[in-house]
Amino acid sequence: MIDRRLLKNFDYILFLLTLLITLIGIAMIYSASYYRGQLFSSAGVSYPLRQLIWAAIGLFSLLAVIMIDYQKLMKYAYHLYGLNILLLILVFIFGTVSRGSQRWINLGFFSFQPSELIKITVILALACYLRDRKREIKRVRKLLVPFGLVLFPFILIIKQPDLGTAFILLPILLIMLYLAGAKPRHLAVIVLIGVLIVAPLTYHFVLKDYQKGRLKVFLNPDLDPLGVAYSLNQSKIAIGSGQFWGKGWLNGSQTHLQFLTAQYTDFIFPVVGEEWGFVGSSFLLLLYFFLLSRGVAIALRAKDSSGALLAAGLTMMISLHIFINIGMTMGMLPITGLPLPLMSYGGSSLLVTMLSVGLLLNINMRRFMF
Amino acid sequence: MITRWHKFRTFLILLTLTAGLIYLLQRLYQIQLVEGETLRAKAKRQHQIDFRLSPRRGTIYDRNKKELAINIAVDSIYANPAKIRPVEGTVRKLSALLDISPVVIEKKLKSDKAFVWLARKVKKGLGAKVKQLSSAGLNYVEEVKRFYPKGKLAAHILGFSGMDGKGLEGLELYYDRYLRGAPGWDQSEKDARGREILSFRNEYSAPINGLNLVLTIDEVIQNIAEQELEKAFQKSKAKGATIVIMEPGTGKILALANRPTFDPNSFQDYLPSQHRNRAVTDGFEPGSTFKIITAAAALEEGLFQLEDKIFCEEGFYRLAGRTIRDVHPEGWLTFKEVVEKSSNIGAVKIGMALGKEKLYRYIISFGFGARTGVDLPGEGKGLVRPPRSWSKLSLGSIPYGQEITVTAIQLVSAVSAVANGGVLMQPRIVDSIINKEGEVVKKFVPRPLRRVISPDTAKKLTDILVGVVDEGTGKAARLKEYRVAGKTGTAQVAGVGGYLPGKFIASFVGYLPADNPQIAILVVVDEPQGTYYGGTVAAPVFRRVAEQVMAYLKMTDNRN
Repeated sequence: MIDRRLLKNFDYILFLLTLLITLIGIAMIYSASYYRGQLFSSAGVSYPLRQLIWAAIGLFSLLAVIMIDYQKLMKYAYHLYGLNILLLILVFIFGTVSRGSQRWINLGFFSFQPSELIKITVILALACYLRDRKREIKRVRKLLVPFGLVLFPFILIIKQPDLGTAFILLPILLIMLYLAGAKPRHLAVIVLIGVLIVAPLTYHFVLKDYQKGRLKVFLNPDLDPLGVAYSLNQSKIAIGSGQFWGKGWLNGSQTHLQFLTAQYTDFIFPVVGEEWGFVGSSFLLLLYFFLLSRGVAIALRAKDSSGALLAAGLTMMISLHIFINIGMTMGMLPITGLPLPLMSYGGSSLLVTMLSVGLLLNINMRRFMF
Repeated sequence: MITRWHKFRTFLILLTLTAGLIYLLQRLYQIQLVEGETLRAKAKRQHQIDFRLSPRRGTIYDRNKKELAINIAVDSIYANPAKIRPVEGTVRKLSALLDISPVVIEKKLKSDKAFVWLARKVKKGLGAKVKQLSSAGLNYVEEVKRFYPKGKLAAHILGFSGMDGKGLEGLELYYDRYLRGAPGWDQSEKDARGREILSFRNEYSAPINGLNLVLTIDEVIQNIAEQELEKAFQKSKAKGATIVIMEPGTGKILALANRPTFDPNSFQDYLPSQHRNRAVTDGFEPGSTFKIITAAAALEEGLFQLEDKIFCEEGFYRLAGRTIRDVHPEGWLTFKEVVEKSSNIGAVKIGMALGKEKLYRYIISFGFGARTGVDLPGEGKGLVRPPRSWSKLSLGSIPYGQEITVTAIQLVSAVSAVANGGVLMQPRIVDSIINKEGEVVKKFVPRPLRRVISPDTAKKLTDILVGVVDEGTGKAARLKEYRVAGKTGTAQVAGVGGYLPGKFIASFVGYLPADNPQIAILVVVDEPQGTYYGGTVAAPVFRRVAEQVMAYLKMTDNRN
């Protein structure tokens, strides 16, 4: 089933980078959930162990996804997309509510977020639609279908609500349109309209008070140091107090004494910053950068435009998460609640990133096969 | 197919990613390396808690290691007012238990703070009782309190220390540096909700307990001195009284007491004037006891022999427009008799023979006009003016102890010099500083300051002073068993515009046994009512004290 030529083009570097970052992530989750000599756990299983199980599942899925030629997958792009939309609708019926939003479908031992998976299926559907439409796409009318493909899940996710995930679909769309050949002029006008009309409307009608608070704090961090800005300030203190060498694994006082909030999920980066200092954090940033540049290289070398678009879309999706998450922990972007790929605790995010890497490997392996 | 422009656009994306990476690295640099120090300090402030561990204050012992100042365990009771329900009933019960007015307690419980002291350093066991009233809102900590087991005994020597354990008066103040020790620190961490994380307890530095003082004071002698002083103070209804007992050979102070006095266990209930250790702080005009110094100077200078005659002008002597009088008018007296009978006119003539400069030199040499350096706080210098500012009258006053002030400690030291054969010793009240194992950390050996008169002069002077007690004004100080040397003093009290009528300072200074003195005693009674002569007010106190102290010393000597 797996041909030797396929193995020859297996991108070991990308694969090993993925594994390495995932393992670092588990170590950091271990540290972040370590409190008073015990590990945080859910249903009797500690967080690092749960993440390890998810990593195994993710790895299995990654390998599974490699088996199927991505071009075959492309044929079912719309079906997969439709199925995912259906899951998003089901969330409203069967989904579990946690911290004010309904995002999860409970699968017994684990729960799963369809909104995480939609990022891949949307990219697949967009790649499927945009391939070989270099010329058509220069017409504004032709932009309607891709916008429509994003709009459905966007609305469904915003309803959950999960703004971070919903809004990340928009830059993915724009970049894929740009790579597919859309006129930059058109895209610029669309962005302008979005910022001038959609953003204020969203602010007034869609955003909840806590979300408005996060935005205000981002614009003025001194506004409310113990309230909304608390997470942000604690994040900066944790990162900064790591200084050059860091305080060492399991020695981060801000992490272990619970000054950081959500330190094993969205704020995992400050744990790295505190415990491994500038050395460790910049090393992690470089690992991410190498991983992303492999993605870009795969996009450049793909044998067809669907592969190139798919690879670029997935790489953009991962990189947006990384920049937005780390930017948020350092006070450069508002708090959005987007996880750090491969690092943050959370099965859905890990699985989706692993799947994306699987697809990237897939595209690379088949670049010489016709 | 992948076209060139597609590659160009993809490449642009790579460029954007690189820019993003550089931006993140720059931010990381800014936060961790530029602001890192500040942020680390901020982090430390958030999670670090320091506990001060109080050291134990050193014990003060008398020379036989009897405890004069110790520490006892006490309870300090505090409340978290918000958690006390119901308030009214609790206030009533607290008031009864703590013996504090309900109004005061209610006011404290109305505080919006989470922590208020209700009672500091109260009896051990009271804390547990109070806690039973409301386990949520009331609690206590164990602390140590300074306790003076002998009450008022040696109050002015010991002084006292405040609530925070800092010495405020007396030896507690003078030796605070040694007694207080050093606090220890226990560092711990707290989490975001303020809970202490015990596993993080670290950098424990143990408190260093204070060192102990061993005094030269003898509790028994101090007790004798205090009791006799108290009796005289009560009987004479005096304004004040002082007694100092010194070992002449060493300068060691065996007892020192003042009236009025106070109880260091409740020093707040007394006036600052009662806290004052008059024996070292206050100067007074010594009167005739000062003739010892005048006589010592004259003998040392070889100006007189004991039998040389001096004309005492039948009690009236005009000098520089003023009349000097003697209480008992005399004609010709020997040098010895001048002192024995305490003739002022005789003393003035001796002083005139000496002259200003020499008299002054001896006064200074005997330690007057300067601090003795005794190890007690607030020592006064007394007032001795230099000869150039003496008036024509000065030589008519200073030789018999007027126009000059001295402190009790100066006077007893000067007389001790005569007693020990002529060497002025540095007065001392602390013998040694020891640690808790009893090892001597610092020993204060007797310190001779200078020879002030020759042994021969000292011996002659002692003979004269024995005469004072045997045949002169100091008969009330006589003892059967021992030869006593001493001198009475009856000084007028100077006030605005001259000496105040009817106000006197009666004193007696002396030592015994005369041929080998073991103790020198000074008794000063300030403004006694009724009889006011040194010979009638102070000398009997001297005798009673000397008798008991000698009996005690003899007993302890035999035992050893």
